[in-house]
Amino acid sequence: MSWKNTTADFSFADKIIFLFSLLLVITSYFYFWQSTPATYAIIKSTQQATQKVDLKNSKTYRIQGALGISAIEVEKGKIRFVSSPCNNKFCIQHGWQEHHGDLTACLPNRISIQLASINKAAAYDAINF
Amino acid sequence: MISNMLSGVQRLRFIILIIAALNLTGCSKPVTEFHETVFTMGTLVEVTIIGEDEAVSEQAYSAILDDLNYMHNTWHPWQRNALARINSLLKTGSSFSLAPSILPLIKQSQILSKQSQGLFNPAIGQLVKLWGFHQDNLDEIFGPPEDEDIQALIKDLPIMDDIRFQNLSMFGTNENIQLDFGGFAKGMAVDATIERLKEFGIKNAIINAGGDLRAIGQHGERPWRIGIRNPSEEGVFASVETSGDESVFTSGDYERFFEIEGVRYHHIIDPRTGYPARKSRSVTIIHNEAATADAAATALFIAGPEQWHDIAKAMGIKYVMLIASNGDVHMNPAMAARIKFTEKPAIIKLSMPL
Amino acid sequence: MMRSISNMQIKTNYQDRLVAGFAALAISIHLLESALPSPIPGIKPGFANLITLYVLIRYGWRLAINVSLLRVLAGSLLLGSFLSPTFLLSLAGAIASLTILGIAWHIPGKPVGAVGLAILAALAHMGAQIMTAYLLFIPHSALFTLLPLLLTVALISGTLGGILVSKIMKRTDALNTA
Repeated sequence: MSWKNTTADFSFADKIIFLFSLLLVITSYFYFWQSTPATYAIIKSTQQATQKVDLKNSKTYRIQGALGISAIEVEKGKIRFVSSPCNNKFCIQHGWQEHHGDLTACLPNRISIQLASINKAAAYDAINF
Repeated sequence: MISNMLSGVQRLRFIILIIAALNLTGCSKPVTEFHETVFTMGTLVEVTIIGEDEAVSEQAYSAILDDLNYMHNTWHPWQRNALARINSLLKTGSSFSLAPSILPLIKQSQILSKQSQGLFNPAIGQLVKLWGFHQDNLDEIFGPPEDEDIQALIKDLPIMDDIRFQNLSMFGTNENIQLDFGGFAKGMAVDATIERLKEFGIKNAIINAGGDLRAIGQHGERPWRIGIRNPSEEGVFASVETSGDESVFTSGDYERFFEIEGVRYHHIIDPRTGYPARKSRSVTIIHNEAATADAAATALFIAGPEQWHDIAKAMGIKYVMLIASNGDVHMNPAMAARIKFTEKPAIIKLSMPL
Repeated sequence: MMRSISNMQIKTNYQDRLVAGFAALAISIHLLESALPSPIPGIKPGFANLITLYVLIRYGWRLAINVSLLRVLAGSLLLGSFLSPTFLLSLAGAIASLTILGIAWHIPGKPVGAVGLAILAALAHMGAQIMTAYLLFIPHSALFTLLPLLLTVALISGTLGGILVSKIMKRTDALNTA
């Protein structure tokens, strides 16, 4: 019993349905998977000049803050604190930031990281908490 | 007639030209955005200005920086400054001359304190200090104070009415009075900053001081989109749109706290009990003035699910969302109409209209 | 005088036996499918739908409804998931795909073939499952980030399933006429 010999019937309507469904599925990716990735980050510290870093270049930055040096890692469009002289390490726990508009900071060490991208609209203008 | 004047090809070119020209009108001028973040008043302040010349924005921004530094130094509850001097003079009971930098804070606080039935009470600085929230960083955790110390302060609780005025002088009538404008100075600073921006002719801006903000105008063609987030959980859980002139302020048990043996002690002290208010997890207010919003967020947080409605009414607040300690979300109908949740809460309790 | 129950026979006709046979087949597939892992518990690709499709084309819509609903009911009883979230999701998926199949099948001239029907049924099935999951169990917008993936699975399983059913139809046609 070979199935290879029996060909499937594709009616004209079948083909249309298939193409339409394919289009629907592809559109669903664009619709539900949108996030605006950031392209650069602004690192501010009260102890040194503000830096603008490109998130494309994987690199570790050592930034001088009020308490000491925080190490900030950039990799593949993401950025995070890896080490910091603060007590609670909330900044490190916050983890990787990658979307336009994301903001993280080490408040005790007075360092902030703000993510942005060129030509992209952020989901929110400001965050209340 | 036109068909007679133009040949077939010319007509086609004409039509293409018209279509192209029409498409160009779809290109709008990109809206200029000015966005700066600065560390001041003990927190990160974000300044957003839309649709202004860069020069104007820069000028306004440096003016704001000066203002914010001044306010931070003058109103700081425990640094050596005008407020500290006033606090020591109030304790003595003898009269002294009015301090112009602090007077507006006192006057406003007295009104708001009365409206909130004393729940908003900046005169309990000593109680706040007892709990150890009197530092910039909570590096040194004091631990919960002795109950007898708390009761001693509660017995004759200092209130805003313990500050009296007589002509151009003022005096205090309670030796335990200590003014701490922590739950209020941010609001006043935001108000002052917005007024400054308006002086520069700026119509569309947001001042966001560590998560509490006031937004004027709108974002180009559309209203401002404000996300609301609980920092202990991932992501924005709700959002509102504002246009015109509105403040969005939230008080939460996650802002300043320490945990001992699994119990969280946070900085919003209930003046009636002397202990951190336990009935709410957070309160979000929308109101036009930031100072009132700031005070109301504190007062309603203390009031809790049973009492918030009365207090909100007395303070003239029109939009409230309160998350109770058991996670229930309480709102008035007007707020429910405005707020958009990314995940619908399990329980929403709608109150009577405000 | 009273007939004892052990002697009573329920009269079945040919149709009943068809439904029973195909339902049994569908239920077996349903049981096997329940062993598959899924990002959201209860959401399944819907291979058992292929039986429904075959019955639809061969024997008509009414029988297909019987087979499908019987499959959902009996399957959930056997799995011990009757009235559970899994059951509700299965039911929602079955109802949605039956509705779409009913509409497509009754278009005059029957322009839609097995493949088209299978795709429509699979998408309707998956769509209904996701909507039900959102409305009843996980009212979180993050659920929809899975939608594109699940729709892709539905499209692929629908297309391949439709081709399979079409081939089976040809085979059984050949057997019938032989």
